[in-house]
Amino acid sequence: MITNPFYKLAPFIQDYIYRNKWTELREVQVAACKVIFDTDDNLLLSSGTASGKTEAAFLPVLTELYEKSSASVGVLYISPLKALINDQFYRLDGLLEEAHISVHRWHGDVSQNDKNKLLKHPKGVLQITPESLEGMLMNKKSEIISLFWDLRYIIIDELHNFMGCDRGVQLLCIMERIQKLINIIPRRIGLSATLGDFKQAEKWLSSGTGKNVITPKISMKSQKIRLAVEHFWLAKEQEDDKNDDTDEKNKQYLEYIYKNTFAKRCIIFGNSRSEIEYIIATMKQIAKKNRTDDIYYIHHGNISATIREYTEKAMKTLDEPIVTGATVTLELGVDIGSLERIMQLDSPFTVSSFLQRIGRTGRRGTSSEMWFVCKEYEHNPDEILLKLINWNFIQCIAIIQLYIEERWIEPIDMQRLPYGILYHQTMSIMASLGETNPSYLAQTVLSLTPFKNISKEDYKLFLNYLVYIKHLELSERRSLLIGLEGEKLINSFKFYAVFKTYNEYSVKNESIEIGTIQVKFPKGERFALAGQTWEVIDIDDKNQIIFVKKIQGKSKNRWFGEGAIIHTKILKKMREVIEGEEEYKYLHPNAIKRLSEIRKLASNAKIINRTIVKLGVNEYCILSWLGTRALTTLCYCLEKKGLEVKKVVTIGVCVSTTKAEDEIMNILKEIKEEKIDKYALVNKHAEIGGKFNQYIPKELLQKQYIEDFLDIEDMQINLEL
Amino acid sequence: MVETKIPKRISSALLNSLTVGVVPRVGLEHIAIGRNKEIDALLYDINNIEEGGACFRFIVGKYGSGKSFLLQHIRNYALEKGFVVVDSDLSPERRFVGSKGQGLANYKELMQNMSTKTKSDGGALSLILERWISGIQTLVAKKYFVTPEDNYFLKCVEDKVFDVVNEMEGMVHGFDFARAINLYLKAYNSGDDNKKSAVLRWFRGEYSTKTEANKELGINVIVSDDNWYEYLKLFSQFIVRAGYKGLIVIIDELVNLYKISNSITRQSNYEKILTIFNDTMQGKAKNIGFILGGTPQFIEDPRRGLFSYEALKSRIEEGRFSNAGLRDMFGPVIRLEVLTSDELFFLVQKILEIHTIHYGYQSKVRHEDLMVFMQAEFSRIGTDEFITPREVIRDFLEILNILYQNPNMSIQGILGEGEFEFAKSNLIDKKIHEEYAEFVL
Repeated sequence: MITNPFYKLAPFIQDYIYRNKWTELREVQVAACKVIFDTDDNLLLSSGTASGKTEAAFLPVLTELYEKSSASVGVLYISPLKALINDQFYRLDGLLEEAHISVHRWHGDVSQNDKNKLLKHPKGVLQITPESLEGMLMNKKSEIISLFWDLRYIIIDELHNFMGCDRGVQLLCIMERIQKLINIIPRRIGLSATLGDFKQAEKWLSSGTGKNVITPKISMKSQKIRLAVEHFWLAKEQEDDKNDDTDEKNKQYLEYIYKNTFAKRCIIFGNSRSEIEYIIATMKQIAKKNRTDDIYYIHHGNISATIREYTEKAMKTLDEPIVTGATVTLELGVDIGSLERIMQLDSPFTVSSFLQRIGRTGRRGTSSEMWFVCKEYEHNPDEILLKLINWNFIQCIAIIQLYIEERWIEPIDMQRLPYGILYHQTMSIMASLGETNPSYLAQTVLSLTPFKNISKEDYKLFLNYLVYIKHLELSERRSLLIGLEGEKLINSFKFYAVFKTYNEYSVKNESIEIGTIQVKFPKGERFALAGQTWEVIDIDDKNQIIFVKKIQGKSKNRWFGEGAIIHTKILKKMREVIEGEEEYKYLHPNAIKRLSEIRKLASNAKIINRTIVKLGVNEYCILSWLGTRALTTLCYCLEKKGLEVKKVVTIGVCVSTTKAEDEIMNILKEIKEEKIDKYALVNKHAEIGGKFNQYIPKELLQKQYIEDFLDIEDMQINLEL
Repeated sequence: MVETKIPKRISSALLNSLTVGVVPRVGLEHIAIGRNKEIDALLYDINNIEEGGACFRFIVGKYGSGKSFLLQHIRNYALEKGFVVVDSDLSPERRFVGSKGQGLANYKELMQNMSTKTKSDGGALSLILERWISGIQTLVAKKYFVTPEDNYFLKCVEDKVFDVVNEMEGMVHGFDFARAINLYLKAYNSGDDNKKSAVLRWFRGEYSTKTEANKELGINVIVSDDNWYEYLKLFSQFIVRAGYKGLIVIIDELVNLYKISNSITRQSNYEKILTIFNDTMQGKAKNIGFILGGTPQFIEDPRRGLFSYEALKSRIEEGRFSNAGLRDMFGPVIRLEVLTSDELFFLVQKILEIHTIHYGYQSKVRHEDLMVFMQAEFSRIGTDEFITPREVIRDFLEILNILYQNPNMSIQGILGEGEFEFAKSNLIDKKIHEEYAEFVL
């Protein structure tokens, strides 16, 4: 049994395993031990949620630390969420009790006192967010070296969350900057739940390390999942939002949600914060009416940290029914104990989001369960055909089918030209360097792996622009300094975060903060937050505080969000769903009825195998069944050919032209076949949304849009004529 | 060529310093060019301080205009005249005020560099104290006809010290300063070296907490970011009583304040400068002179320079009648113009002279050869703003060294081969990969 990695683990870990009566190491844990003990490579662990990945990474790593202790912080554990850090902390605490390996946390809510203690005696495991690391690099550069000079491992939790987004690029830059400061390259361990393509994740993880990545194959025990999809009609959306729950139809919808979450351990996921606020407030009301317990909590990014932590704790410690309304924040692996069910309002945007959410249930043995509730507002009778179909409902089925038939998950888009982060890192590096020479800055910044596609000419243009907008300043010796506008920005802690934060108002009931909102509601307005309805009684503009009082009743409000990008494959699947006759076992009666209605509608209108549908005089709809990016590319191509794009719908694009149908068809054929110069395509300014866009020269933003958003290949391959 | 007499010790120090690109601490008079008006103005100040006055001057000039050179010149002169000089270069870690103790860091630097004529390379504080005490001892011995063996000798010395120290107690922090001096005297008398160095640490601002100072010295106050200027004033008074002429405070590289990327911090640094300026101009400070070196940008930039602070701008701005040709040497700002090519040529000739004297050889370098060298350098100055007289001299000395060791070579030969590596300015000393070397804005 010498080969069993169990015996290679540190004694205290073996004890811990015995004491907790784990009968054996899980497969993922064995695999992780082998890679850590026997190689010098990076490690990527990708398996379903609750397969013990976190422990799998920590068991061998802590063993190594135990055998050869580090003279500084030995393990850096990077997590996308503060909540996650708080949670892991407790999970590890038990394991480390007698090991004398201390675990430290470092984020905005950790006291300065605790931080100073660690700075004095750096050791053990440090749990941190990318933002806090950024702050350290900017303001405590010298301390980075004393904290990390003997760093062995960087563990990145929820890796899939970092890949393909700005924050991930930022994290890669940060890790490389630390590597350069301490002059060693620690091994990296990536933990990820759902991955469509390991190759991309491996490439991401090893970026800037020059090391290999090993991804042990872990046989997935086929887990039983239970799904249900139901459909509801709601009364027409009204402007003033009054009385909308007295309508019989709406009542049914809300009662359904209430009934199927009642007395369950459950999360209700919504795609927007306002919807979640509305639903939870309603659930509370129904519960009150029915004299059942108020077990309703709320968890999203706008809620203050204390309330969020309270909710997490309640979900984890209470072994009783609890229903939490949540957005993407609870998609991540906060350990919230076992859940019985996920209630999903409308379709999630992506397959990976669906998997994340369902992964929250069925931990340790029980089967996962997810119920979808798709709502549809009653239509005006004169609505055009395409609007009569609830595409969101079809999308929901397509996403489920893609996963259960093909186990398909969206590949992650890697940015070729991450200018937003280029700006951010330039300023951050300037802040830590003070005065510097342009050539030294260019070398420091452009040698970071994520910026390898950025040319020196473009960077020169970029820096000149920063000088022009006074974020940087050129001294008389032609060296660079932080400019007057730049210093306003970098001296705020808000600068550390690269994801979009809006102007936020703190909502206070007397002196207690309930949460923050981005919309300044006028005095007297009512809105829902933290599962309660509040009325605005006063606004302090200077300090950005909205004072409220609690009231009965409820209200609907909206927060701003960003549109999601849907993959072409989902669109193709949606067409299959409409075209086919397959009955899906998970559909409930109303949903079955609605699907067959839609199929009939579609077949009567012959929209399945037709590419062009005439809508009116000189108005056509091109049914392209393309994902967001390919569809956008198609629109540009059409405009280039002289067609006027009127409107983009889920499954295609409406154009206005005097050309006849067969002429349009010929144009489409040309577009599909010919070689397209994408730089000639975009004639008006276009850019990908980003927090730092205003600090980037327009011509670079356009370049980024063309390189990173448009997808000619996808469009040409998948445009079926 | 006129034979000048320069001691080997001086010429060696001069050549060594110039070769590595630092301002020599001795022998400056041999290579000083022009600047007579400026030097006169500063010498006038120094005489003023000796008579109990105070002064405040900005030496303003572009990179390469010889600020550091002039400051060094004044420093040498002041030391020679019997002043105590403290000096420092500001940096991101050393400012007038800062949130991370940068003000105190600057004070510490000043104290470490405290110099006198006999100890001109810093660390003169203990020497000043001991010289003073032994001076008093001698005085007491002479005046009261007692010898150190007599019992009341110590008492007499202490009394005398008290007289001096009492005068200072009225000043801000004077009480604690006087206590520290007494402590030093006691430790001196009892030969307690630990105590002596603890007091010196206190004077140099090296205690980080009051508790620590209280425990070791029984003094409840320490030098901090907020009060270090008061201690400089106390020192100026003390050293005058210890037999020196006054205290000259030289702070260079003020451009580092301009570079601070936080407007509030910049502002508070300028406020501190204003405090010092007002103090010296209104006669609250005595026997102390501040000479601060900075670039025109640091002074004049209306957005982040000294002139962004209105209170200072109105005080410092030159009068309406002053211009490049007609300079007012009594204003607080002394401007240095960049050396002209003629002056630079003259300087190169002087260096050649020192080199030949030092190594004792007859140079074959002719006027035309110097012209070739100067032309090569000027074409560089034209293209690169970082090239200053410092770099020109470094290059020149390197060439002279090559010629001395290879008598068959010529300046034209060395420069012509294209392999001569010209000195680079110190801003580009970070390692830059070839790929990025040409990256300029």
